[in-house]
Amino acid sequence: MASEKDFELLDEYIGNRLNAQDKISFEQKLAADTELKREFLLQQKIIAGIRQARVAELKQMLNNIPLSSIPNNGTSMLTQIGIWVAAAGIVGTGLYFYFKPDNNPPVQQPIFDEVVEETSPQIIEPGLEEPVQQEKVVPVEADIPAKTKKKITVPEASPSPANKVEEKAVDRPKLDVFDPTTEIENTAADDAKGNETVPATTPSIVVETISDKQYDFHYQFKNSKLYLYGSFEKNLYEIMEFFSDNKRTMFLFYKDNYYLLNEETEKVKALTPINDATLLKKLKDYRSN
Amino acid sequence: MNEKEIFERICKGDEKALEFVYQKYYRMMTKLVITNSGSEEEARDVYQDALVVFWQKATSRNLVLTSKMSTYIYSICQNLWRKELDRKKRLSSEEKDTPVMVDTESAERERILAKCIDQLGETCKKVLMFYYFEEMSMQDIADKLGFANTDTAKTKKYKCKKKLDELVKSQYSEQDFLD
Repeated sequence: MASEKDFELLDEYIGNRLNAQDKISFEQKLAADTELKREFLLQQKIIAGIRQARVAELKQMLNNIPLSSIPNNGTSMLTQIGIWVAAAGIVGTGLYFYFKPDNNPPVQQPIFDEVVEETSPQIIEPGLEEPVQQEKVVPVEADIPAKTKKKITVPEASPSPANKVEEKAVDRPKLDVFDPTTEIENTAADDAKGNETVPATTPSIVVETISDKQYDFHYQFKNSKLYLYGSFEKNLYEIMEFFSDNKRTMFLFYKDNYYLLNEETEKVKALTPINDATLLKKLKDYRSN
Repeated sequence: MNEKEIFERICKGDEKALEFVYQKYYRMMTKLVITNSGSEEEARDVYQDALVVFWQKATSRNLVLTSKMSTYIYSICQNLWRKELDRKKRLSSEEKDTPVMVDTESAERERILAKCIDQLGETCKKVLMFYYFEEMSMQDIADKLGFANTDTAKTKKYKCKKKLDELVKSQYSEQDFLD
């Protein structure tokens, strides 16, 4: 005969509230007591009904949550990451162009008309006397002292038959190239005279370097300015100016080479190193003085 | 609200915390079923069942989390969906001419019990559900339902259970529940 205490134990047994030892003990009693077992079967189903009712209640509660309030954290997460990456790219590109130093002056683009290959000064024929010139050296980035205007003469190479043929084939403009050695010689005398000639302590031309993909080693005279195309900012360069009868001849010294700068045209021209040994020697002598 | 706080609130039977978890992991959990031959409805059912299992274990203090809450719930979803796929497979492999056995007695019993439980007051229903499903302590039940102390909770539970037993036995014969 099951007691009131047995029914209490039965309730705790079905409610999973007995410890392991009490559980075993109660199960033994349950197996031996028919009345208790009948009550157990009934209570088991009633309590299962309570549990089922609670599950249904909880699921109903979850079903009442509108799906529209559920955040999208599946594929939309990838979309969100994509949006963030794209936004970061746009901002980064914008910042890059905003802070990128603009090496190209606004006047440059319209003047890229035509590239004319520069003829080398080696065409200067030895033996031909040029008129007395005035020159000055304009320090641009190198530490070259400014010179006063001086008269110099550059002897031209004597014309060879081959050179004559070339002269006929190519109608080259006459180049007023000056002999720096004369200037060197005259420098001391001029200094002794107290620099009677007008000193040129500032460059007579503004030089601007431009990094451009189209013209990697070119130059151009435009609007009274000399534009040097290429990576000139990486090394020092010098502009040498020689004046004679109000006519100017300019040379560029860059990386141990000398280049003639022809300012008769505004077209972009390639820089070609001077190969004429005599002229090179004179320019070197002048620079080294 | 971090995960630890959410879990503590769930352990105390905070249904708002359960709703929060349901919303938070809905896409992740249902995707598991949907990408494994399940429908949206099946996915929702599996996820809800898994959450109920998780809720029951947490509120009965039978769960010590050693992983992330989402990992634990995900593993329950996996097990439930695997069982459901196995059940489907068994059904499809059975002969089509085998008569389908419908357990009408069980269904009738459940209907009777649900009706009896509905006849209880709201507080009684809650006390019995918290005691038998959530397996809450008397202290937790007292706190949750605003009883003065555990003795009040214990008395309330005793009376409510007795009332339900009487309802079941009076309206239906005991034999209906014994087969």
